[in-house]
Amino acid sequence: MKEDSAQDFITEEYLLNMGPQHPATHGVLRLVLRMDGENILDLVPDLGYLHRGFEKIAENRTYKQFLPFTDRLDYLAGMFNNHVYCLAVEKLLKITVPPRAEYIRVLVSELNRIASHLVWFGPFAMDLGAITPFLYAFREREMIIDLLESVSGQRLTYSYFRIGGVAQDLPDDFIVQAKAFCEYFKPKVDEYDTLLSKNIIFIKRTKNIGVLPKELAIDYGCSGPVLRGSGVAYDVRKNEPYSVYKDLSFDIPVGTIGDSLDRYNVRIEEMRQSVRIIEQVLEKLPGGEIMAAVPKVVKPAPGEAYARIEAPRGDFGFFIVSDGSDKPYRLKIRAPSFSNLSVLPELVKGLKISDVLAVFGSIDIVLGDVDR
Amino acid sequence: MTTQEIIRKISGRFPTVETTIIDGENALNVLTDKDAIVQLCAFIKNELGYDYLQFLTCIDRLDKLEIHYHLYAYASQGTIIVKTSVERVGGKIQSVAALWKAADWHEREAYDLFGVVFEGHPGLRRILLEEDFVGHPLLKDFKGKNVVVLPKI
Repeated sequence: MKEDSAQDFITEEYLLNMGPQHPATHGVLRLVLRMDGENILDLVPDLGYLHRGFEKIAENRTYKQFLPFTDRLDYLAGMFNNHVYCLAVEKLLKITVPPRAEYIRVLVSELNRIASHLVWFGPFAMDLGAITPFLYAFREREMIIDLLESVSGQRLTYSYFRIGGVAQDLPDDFIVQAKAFCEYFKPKVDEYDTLLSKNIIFIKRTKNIGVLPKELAIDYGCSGPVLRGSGVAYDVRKNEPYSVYKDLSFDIPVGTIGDSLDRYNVRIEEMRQSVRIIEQVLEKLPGGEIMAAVPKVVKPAPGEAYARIEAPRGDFGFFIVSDGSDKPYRLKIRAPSFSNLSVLPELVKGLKISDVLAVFGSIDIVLGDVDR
Repeated sequence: MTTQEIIRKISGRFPTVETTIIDGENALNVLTDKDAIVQLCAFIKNELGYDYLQFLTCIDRLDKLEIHYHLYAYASQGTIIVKTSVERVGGKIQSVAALWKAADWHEREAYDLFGVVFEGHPGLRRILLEEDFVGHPLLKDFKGKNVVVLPKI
């Protein structure tokens, strides 16, 4: 038998298919990787598996009928989808929302932000091999979901917002329970730090992995924690305040070099800031109406409006063109996950296959948001 | 840089371009001919500092296809909406993917759903729909075999 030496081996590049059904893509996304051994040469995302054509559907529904569809965009943050859609329609109609409704909107949104970050935190840790934090995160998330269910009747697709306000007032014991939750939750974030943030294996898996420089993040249109992780202190809540955010004090956490660990730290700190916002809202919550006077049939004057908010995944916008009828003439959804995902091929080049999960998890996309 | 200064700078360089202020917001509409799109966008990005392409999209106006570029400047926190139009069927326009990398996917989406061809795009192909899909669904006259019109209520 001939003896092989290392030089006689012929190696060649190969394609590796990740998804569309893969536990770490958290949805239906296909990543095609061009590999050299275990090193990634290139990555091409293949999306659209969850495309439901919401922009087309909107053209055939009245403004009020379209509201429940928005819940299904970023399905982990239904309140935000409702919020930005209502903001855009209110802008077209030139309606002012009563203060109590604005405060309630911020209150439920920030609760939803924590829930959404927890659904990122747990599975992100699990993708990297830490099973336990997942159970802790979902324990706390369950309490938030219970709170939101008591407000809206739904646990995931809330449809709680209405054009001009919110569907119903808070239940009687909500404020007490929300305060109790805040007290309960604050030490839990520190517990997450103990569990994961200072864990040496976790740090080795994420530090200096998937470094996204500031300029590249802006160039790709990244937003939210992905942008802030790269050191850009930009938050729509702070820089272009909507609703009542300018009356509330909170900090914008930023990272330094834009690696996976920075993006992780930004989100963990955002949960603490959200608790701060919730506590202030619970103190300040004014009385009064929860709905503005909105016509039965919503028929905005011809024109166009763009509204944007800071969703858990970033800069989320709705662009609506009205032709004066009761249906949107054109509705465009600016989804944060879509632009955030587009930077992934840049981040994983030269890394190992197992790093894809660390980078991909730290970007935190929701496929319902990407594919719309 | 105030809004008036930006208007003066744009119209100084591009005399045929129409600019209007959007009331109550730090935002401008800039209406241009499609042939000037790359020069205008390069000017807005490099000279005026609009470094963030929020999105670009089309609107089917039945006689033409309007294209909107939503641009944002992190430094001055202002918005410029560049508007231009192309033919409804077989419309072509120069790609701005070389200016903002974000334009890559958004142009693919506009091509996918509206059929606009972006010339000079690094890899123009469908993004959300499957490769063998026939037609461009966000055009108003699109008829797919699975599209059922709801009865009037």
